[in-house]
Amino acid sequence: MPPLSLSNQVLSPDMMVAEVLETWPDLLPVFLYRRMACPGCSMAPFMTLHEAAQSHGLDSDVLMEELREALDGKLPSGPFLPPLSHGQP
Amino acid sequence: MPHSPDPAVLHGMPLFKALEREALADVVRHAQTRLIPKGTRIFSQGDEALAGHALIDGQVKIVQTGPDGQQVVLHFLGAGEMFGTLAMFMGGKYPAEALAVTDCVEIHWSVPTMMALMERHPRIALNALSILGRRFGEVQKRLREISTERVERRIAHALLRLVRQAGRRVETGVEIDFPLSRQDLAEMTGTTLHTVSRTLSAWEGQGIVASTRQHVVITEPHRLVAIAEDLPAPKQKD
Repeated sequence: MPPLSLSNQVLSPDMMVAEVLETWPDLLPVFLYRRMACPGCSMAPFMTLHEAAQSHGLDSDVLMEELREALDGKLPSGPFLPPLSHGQP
Repeated sequence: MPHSPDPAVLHGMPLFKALEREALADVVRHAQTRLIPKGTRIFSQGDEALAGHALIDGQVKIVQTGPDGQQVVLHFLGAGEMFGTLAMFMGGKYPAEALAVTDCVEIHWSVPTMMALMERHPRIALNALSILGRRFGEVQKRLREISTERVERRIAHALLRLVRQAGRRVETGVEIDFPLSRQDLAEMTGTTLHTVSRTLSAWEGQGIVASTRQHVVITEPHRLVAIAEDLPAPKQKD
């Protein structure tokens, strides 16, 4: 489990995706489940959770809810499909 | 004793297009007809090309097996279509296998017969050339598409590597925080200045990047990643 109580960070939609994954590595399955290409992406340090959700056509509130649930230990399980295309206008 | 089919069966076959009635009769006279039960392998990939084939009735699929064993269905053929006919000009081996999907009736001409027909009726040879020319054109077009895609992906990857190294979040997107000319990008991706310029201009037109002579800002980071990673098209859901 991520050291939730020890972290003084609070999960927010304005956090950069890479920072989120560094702080709470256990959140990885949420991104895989949502077929987001963020994990390992060069752009992850520069994109907020909100932007990443948007570009995948996902309501950022929904993503935040799932991330918070995952922090509570409710993780989605695989098998996960490959990432979807994103950023289409 | 094989019987000769009605010359009308050749109607619409590109190899015999614009042939005189006499010539068509000659072609049909030298054809052999046979019934092929469903599931028969008419010829195998790599077999010596012994004949040219035309399907009179039924369905045939043409399947090619790659070096890695992966099979690709190249064509589904129906009545009036020819197959395996050009193999005699392509190294003398069938490049794929032909399988009877249903019970079929085919006519075929042995290679010496087909050669003799072409000598007697040069129109057939000209038709064969035009079929080959068209296929060659398709191959060239596909090759160009593939090489263009590849160079686009290389350029996208180079920009992403630079972002990882020297990216900086700015108002309009993610900036590569050091002077980067199009010539630099060309050298990094093993392509030409012309290609880099053309690609970047296209991306600028689509709003993916904004660049000045020495600076690149990625204005639509997600779309650049999608190009680099060749991500599948989004599925429509909900």
